[in-house]
Amino acid sequence: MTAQTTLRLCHSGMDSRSLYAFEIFLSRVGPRACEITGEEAADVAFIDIDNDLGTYLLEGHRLLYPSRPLIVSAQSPGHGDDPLTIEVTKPVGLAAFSAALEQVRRLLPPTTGDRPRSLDAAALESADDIPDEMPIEALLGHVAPRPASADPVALLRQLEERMSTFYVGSMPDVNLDDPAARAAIFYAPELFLQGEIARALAHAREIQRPVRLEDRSGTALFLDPRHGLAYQARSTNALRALSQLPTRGTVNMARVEARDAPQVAGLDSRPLEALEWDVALWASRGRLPRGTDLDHPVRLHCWPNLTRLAVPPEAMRIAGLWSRGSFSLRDTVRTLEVPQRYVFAFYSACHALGLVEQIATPAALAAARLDATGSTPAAAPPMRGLFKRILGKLLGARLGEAAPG
Amino acid sequence: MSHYKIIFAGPVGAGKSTAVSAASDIPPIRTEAVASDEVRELKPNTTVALDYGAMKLADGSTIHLYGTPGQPRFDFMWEILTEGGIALILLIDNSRGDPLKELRFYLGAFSGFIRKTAVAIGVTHTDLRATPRLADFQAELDRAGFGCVPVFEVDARARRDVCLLIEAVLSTIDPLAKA
Ligand SMILES: Nc1nc2c(ncn2[C@@H]2O[C@H](COP(=O)(O)OP(=O)(O)O)[C@@H](O)[C@H]2O)c(=O)[nH]1
Ligand SMILES: [Mg+2]
Repeated sequence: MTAQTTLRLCHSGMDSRSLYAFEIFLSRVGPRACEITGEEAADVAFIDIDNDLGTYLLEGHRLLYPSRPLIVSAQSPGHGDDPLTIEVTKPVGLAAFSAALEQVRRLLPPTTGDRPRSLDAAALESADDIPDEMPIEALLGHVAPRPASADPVALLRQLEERMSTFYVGSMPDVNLDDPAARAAIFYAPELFLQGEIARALAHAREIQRPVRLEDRSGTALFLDPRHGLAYQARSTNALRALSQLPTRGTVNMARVEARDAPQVAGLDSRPLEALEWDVALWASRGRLPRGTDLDHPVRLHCWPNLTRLAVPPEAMRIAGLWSRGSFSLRDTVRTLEVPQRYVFAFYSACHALGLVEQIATPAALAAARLDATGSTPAAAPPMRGLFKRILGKLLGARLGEAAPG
Repeated sequence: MSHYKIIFAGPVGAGKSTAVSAASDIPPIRTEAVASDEVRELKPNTTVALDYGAMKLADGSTIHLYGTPGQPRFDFMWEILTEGGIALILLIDNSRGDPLKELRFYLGAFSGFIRKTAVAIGVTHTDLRATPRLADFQAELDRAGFGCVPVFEVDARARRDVCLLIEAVLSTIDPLAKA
């Protein structure tokens, strides 16, 4: 049986004009070799990485769809070693593109073949005979070097927003004055991997030795507080999954023995703080540690090291506000006009690192009332426009370059 | 047309020239400072090298980036340079000397400007020496009465680090401003 399914392909970063040209190109590859679909339904994504945002789009897509094959076009490919990424050199001809699609087919799990739409392999094989009469570069020429969307800042914001669901979840705002709805915004860190890590670290400090955390499938983490390092024996995806749900007794700690050394030596380390930060965000998913008061002012003792930690959405503005004065969590949401989950997630992560506390003295409460009602922090209005433009510029620079680690 | 500047300061070798270059959209220029008449009278034969870069914004306007001369003997320049500045980026080299003492010194030297605008601290060369830690810098800021200030580990060679630091300082001036 040589029936071929029509591959569902999405693209990232093409404007409508390039897309039209690309569709013509695809029709030449084979009438039903592939069809353009939305991002969520796609079997494979096509990304050109030779523009400002290329690398970012690629990373973003990989993060959102870790097991999806990607076809990446570049003038000079050859940097990646990801087995799911197929690189094609520009100008991309029909034969090269069909070959890439063929490779994608081999990478896809067999279940994809269940879909009814199928076409004769012959149609595809004959694609090799079609001359390279429409090199893709000519079509994509007018895309580069600018990103597709008319407004790159909007595109970036959109991407950032979607990728951020890992860190802030997707919980909608609730009515904070409704006691029943309010229950949904709290979580108990101690029931999650976050709590296991906190206990393991306390233990490790006490016995002055590294410890490891294991679940049913073996060791997940080695923690070495003396050197401030964490060794991750799981993929980030697996660790995130482990962090998001209560552990319910499935995670144990044990001290690291000499026989563990070879395994530890084979693992990459990262700062403990960065692990604790991620794990707190993953557990919180936009909620607050149980017991947090919505109306007591937040005091930020120290900024999180945001060049070396994941930057959840609006983290800068939230920290900026807290640097200026006393704001409760409720007032922070209202003043910045951001979703509750952004503020709650950021607070939870800062709390996990001991960077924030809530002050409930009468004086602090009075000061917070004053800050929140009276002086909404404002630069001179003409500066706001300027700041907006600078921030747009910085956002591009920030997202266009991958974070370390 | 207004002349908006972001000022980079800090000791020699902290990474000012490198940071200006990383954030700049144009090849940075090392230039001789144009001393005002007043300064020329004061120090007639002094020329001072400083870094200049520029960020081009979407509406065609420009933010000027200035790296100040590091040596304290050029401190007479600092006041002139900071005129019209919107924020101070203070870079401290963690691998040499006494970084907290440097912090104290530069906070003092630029205190007038900082009180009018805002400051963010980039601790550089942490790959070479991890201590003092960021919390130690914040403690020093608290002692000097500056409150909670963004303090990040920064590699001045990394554009992303430098941009995050600028974003942070702006967010402390006007957290309501949004890209
Ligand atoms: N290892 C390391 N080198 C850095 C870092 N930041 C800057 N540098 C280097 O430090 C040197 C001095 O930087 P420079 O910009 O000339 O310092 P300036 O005197 O403040 O202008 C340059 O070689 C930079 O590349 C860092 O975080 N780590
Ligand atoms: Mg220099």
